Amino acid sequence: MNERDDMNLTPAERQIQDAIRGLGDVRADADFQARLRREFVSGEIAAAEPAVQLPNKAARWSWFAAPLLAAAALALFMLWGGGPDWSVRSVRGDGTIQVAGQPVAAGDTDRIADLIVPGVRIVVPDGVELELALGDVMVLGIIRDSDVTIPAEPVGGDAALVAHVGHGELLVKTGPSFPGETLQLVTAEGLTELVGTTIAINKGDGFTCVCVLEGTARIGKDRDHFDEVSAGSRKVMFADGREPMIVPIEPGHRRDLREFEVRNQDLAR
Amino acid sequence: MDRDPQSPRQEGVTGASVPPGPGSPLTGAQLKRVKARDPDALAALFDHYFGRIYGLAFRMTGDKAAAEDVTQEVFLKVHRAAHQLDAGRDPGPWLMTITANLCKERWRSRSGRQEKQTFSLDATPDAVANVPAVGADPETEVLAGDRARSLEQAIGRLPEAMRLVVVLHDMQGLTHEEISEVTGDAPPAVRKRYSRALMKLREMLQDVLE
Repeated sequence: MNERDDMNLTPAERQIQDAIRGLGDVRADADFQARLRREFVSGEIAAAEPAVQLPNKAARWSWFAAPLLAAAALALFMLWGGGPDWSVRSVRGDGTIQVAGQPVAAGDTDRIADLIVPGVRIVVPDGVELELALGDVMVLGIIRDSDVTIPAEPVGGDAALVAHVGHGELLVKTGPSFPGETLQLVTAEGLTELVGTTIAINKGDGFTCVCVLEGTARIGKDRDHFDEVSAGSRKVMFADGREPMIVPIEPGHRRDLREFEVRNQDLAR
Repeated sequence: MDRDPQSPRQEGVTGASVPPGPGSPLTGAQLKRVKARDPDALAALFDHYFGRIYGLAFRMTGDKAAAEDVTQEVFLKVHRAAHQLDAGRDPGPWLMTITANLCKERWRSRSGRQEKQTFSLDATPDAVANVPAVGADPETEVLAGDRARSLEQAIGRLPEAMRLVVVLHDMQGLTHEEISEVTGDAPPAVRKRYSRALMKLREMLQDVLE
């Protein structure tokens, strides 16, 4: 509060102001607050239907119109085109996976499958690898102590199809039913857009490394800094402001991606 | 997303480094972890700003369900845009901007206009804690309660732009300069609108105040 703002109030205005400031606080429903907090912290909120259906605004259709169109197209495909649901393709290793904030044994694939919804946050411990499929649209591999929020169903006028990688490694392979539009993968250091490809996105402490095994991906801290990174290369982006670099994929990364590709090659048929 | 968190209109509100400490905005380190969607940092952000967001939404919509809808939408947008947060700035003005914009869009929608016509704080009598002074006698309590209710209803009848300025200044503690960042108006225009709002409230409450 800046006292200077109120220096020139008349006594009548001051009387009203004092009365307003004497009003009590607004209390939210405790259950609502607790539920929203849980969903926000776990990432479940990303899967929630918007309570407010907002009108489209022309201002939103600026430089990012193309990805929004892509998101809308995929939303239509998923929501009204008889689109598939997410399913558990495989789980390897032992440990406890967190799905929407709920701990589930890696071996309990039925329970994992029950909890997987669009936009859900998944935390996989070291030693466990979880692979999810959205029909033959795409396969996601969440491996090695990773924290990933899978794409939500785009909703509203400003929605986008976006997956988030908090830390760890996410492998992505698009399939034949991928609608030819853009999927965005987001980390603290940058944005990756892909249109049908196989990549790995590795989010470490202070950096993001994106390896492209097949196809081409647009990678940068934002769209103004995109590089087209083609098969066999990786782009590394740093949080400390160092210049990003594009270099050949490390042999170990290439091997992991190739194994992922082979495991899911049926998706391409 | 309503607005890029790093756009110039968010700058200059509280541009200094965010100080640590109880009751203060989140630290820069916490905000960096919010960007990475660290659960503890998200929880801290929620705990610090939920009341302000819900309070603004409730005062602006006058309806508990609408306020819950708007609040949920705000946190959805924040979650989606967390990676774009500027860890060097207080996210408060950005959050207030999102909330205010969602309320505005709600008014502009058909359903919002219908809700506006039925604006009533009576629908949620427990939502606002109008607590009279401790030790007040029953008659004083009743009078204080009536007066507070009248004032709440008068604020609810203010034109939206005036109501927003009053709520942000007197209930959310924003300066006119900060409000100008939220509304996009120049600070003198905000100051003038605030003054007009106070006088309009005084007209509406003439009988109650005398």
